[in-house]
Amino acid sequence: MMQLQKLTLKNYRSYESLDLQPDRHVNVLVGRNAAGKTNLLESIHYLAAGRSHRTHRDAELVRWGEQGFFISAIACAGTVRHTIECAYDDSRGKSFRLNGVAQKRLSNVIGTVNAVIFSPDDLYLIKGGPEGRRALMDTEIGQISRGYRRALARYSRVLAQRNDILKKISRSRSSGVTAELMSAPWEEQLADIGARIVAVRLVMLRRWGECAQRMYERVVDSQETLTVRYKCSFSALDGSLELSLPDLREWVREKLSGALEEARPREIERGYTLVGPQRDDLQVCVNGRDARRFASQGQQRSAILALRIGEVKWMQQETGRKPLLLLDDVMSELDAARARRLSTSVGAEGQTFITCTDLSEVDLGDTGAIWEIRDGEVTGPVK
Amino acid sequence: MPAFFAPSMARLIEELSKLPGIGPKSAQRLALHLVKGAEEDVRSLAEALMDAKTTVQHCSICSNLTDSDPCEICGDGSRREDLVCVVEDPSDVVAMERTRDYDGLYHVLHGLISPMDGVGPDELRVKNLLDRLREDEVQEVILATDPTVEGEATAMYLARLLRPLGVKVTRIARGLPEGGDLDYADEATLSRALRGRYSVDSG
Ligand SMILES: Nc1ncnc2c1ncn2[C@@H]1O[C@H](COP(=O)(O)OP(=O)(O)O)[C@@H](O)[C@H]1O
Ligand SMILES: [Mg+2]
Ligand SMILES: [Zn+2]
Repeated sequence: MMQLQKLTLKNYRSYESLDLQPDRHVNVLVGRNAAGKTNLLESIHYLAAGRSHRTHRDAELVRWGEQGFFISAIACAGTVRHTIECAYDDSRGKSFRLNGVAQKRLSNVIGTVNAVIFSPDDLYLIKGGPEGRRALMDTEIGQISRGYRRALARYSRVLAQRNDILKKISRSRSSGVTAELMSAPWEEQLADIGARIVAVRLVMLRRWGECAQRMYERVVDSQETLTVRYKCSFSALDGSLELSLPDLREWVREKLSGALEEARPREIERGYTLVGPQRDDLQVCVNGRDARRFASQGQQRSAILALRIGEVKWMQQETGRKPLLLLDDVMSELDAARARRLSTSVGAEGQTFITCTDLSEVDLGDTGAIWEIRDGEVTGPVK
Repeated sequence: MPAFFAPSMARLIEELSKLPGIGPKSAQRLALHLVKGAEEDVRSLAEALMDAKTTVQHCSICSNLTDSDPCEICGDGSRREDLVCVVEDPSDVVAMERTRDYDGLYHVLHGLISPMDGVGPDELRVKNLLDRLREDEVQEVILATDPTVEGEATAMYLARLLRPLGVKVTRIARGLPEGGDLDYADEATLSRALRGRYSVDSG
């Protein structure tokens, strides 16, 4: 299991400084609105994902009036202890240290801590645009696969280079032969790296979807079905379902390569790439229908909850250990019966952080600690 | 920051901070170090700078940096002249030579294709590579650019470009850490990569 033994914050959001030694099981963070509960969960998640779940601008995380922030944690993954530190400075940006050693690549740090956050803002996963759902897949897989993080970084670089070429070709109206010779090396790489990305997403989605479906039945409603579909921008996915990862990669590569060739005239006209994983999306369905359009508010919330718990289970399958669970104001949204089923489904052996405004929302059981949060100060454990 | 220094110092700091990898702080430290030291040391450095700049030139055969044309490697006479290894810049030649596994010739591109940075084939030493392959007795061209996306793209571009010339084109194998720089790879890895090169004929 993944366990956070110590968390230190300096000038992070509303925290001037914080030293927290959490309980190894359940940690309840109780406090009024705007006390700093979400800020605390956000800082833990930041170490896992390398970015905030609320904003992509690191500068917003700096305590007002200061020039930088610092987060550090001692975390145990199974029996291995890691010290992970992140320092951000307005002029120098962010830098990471792992066990005291400065890390040049963010991708070497992400994944040392695994965490899944449940947030009231999660409705965007159903109601928002496709970027949010792509980011979900990418951070989720990225947390457990360094190869995937590298592939994403390489892909976005190739994409930027090819888009630049497309613009130049469309402006200069260079001859077909030159254009072909110039863009082919980038297209070949787009198809190759893009296929790796899509294939991994598809395999992940099969397993994650299964976990989410099971959780939906168990926690929410045993009569309804929840399915997650991959919406591919360049090909129907029939015929890909049974393929193993290497075959799937090859299958996607051929489709993507064909789609790129077909789209090229339009892409030259528009000056950017129109097909590929950067345009793909997910569709969440309840009882076979698009949840965005046909599910009730309650069904949407339940679907998200199941997706998140499914994420936890999936991550546990992949890494062999339970990620940290960060539950932000989740309990208050559920009726008592569902809250209890949620606790038993996810709680038990993992380490959990739960925020609430009122202790009556949370059933702590025998183990665990309660922390009181007020104006960026934490006191406790009270129990 | 330089505004608080005497104008001559400010100028020196500014010149130094133009160098790659040198930030304002390091530039300041270097400048202070230089003026503190003996005059002969500074003169010797200044002369070395000017000397290198006026003497060094591109080898007319392989485009590597050299004091005399052709360079030592091209003029060696004991090396295999049917084998040309294409690299990004002179430091890659040094890295390859350290492996002691390679006794062919080189061709230095002085960069990689990167449309965003305005670098296309015309900005690189590609044309004289073509001329060279048409005239000389080259049997095999080894593409040894870094495995970065720009390195790959450059290799793929050259593979297509060279195909009609009928020379054998190979790419060094990915024994290299993905995304890693060629000159950081240790010599053993580089030797392995060189021996495991594969022929690029499709694409
Ligand atoms: N960069 C920042 N510097 C100082 N305070 C901040 C910063 N960002 C947010 N805050 C404060 O944090 C509070 C919100 O904290 P949050 O953790 O979201 O509250 P809650 O306990 O309701 O989850 C707000 O009152 C806001 O003023
Ligand atoms: Mg909150
Ligand atoms: Zn030479």
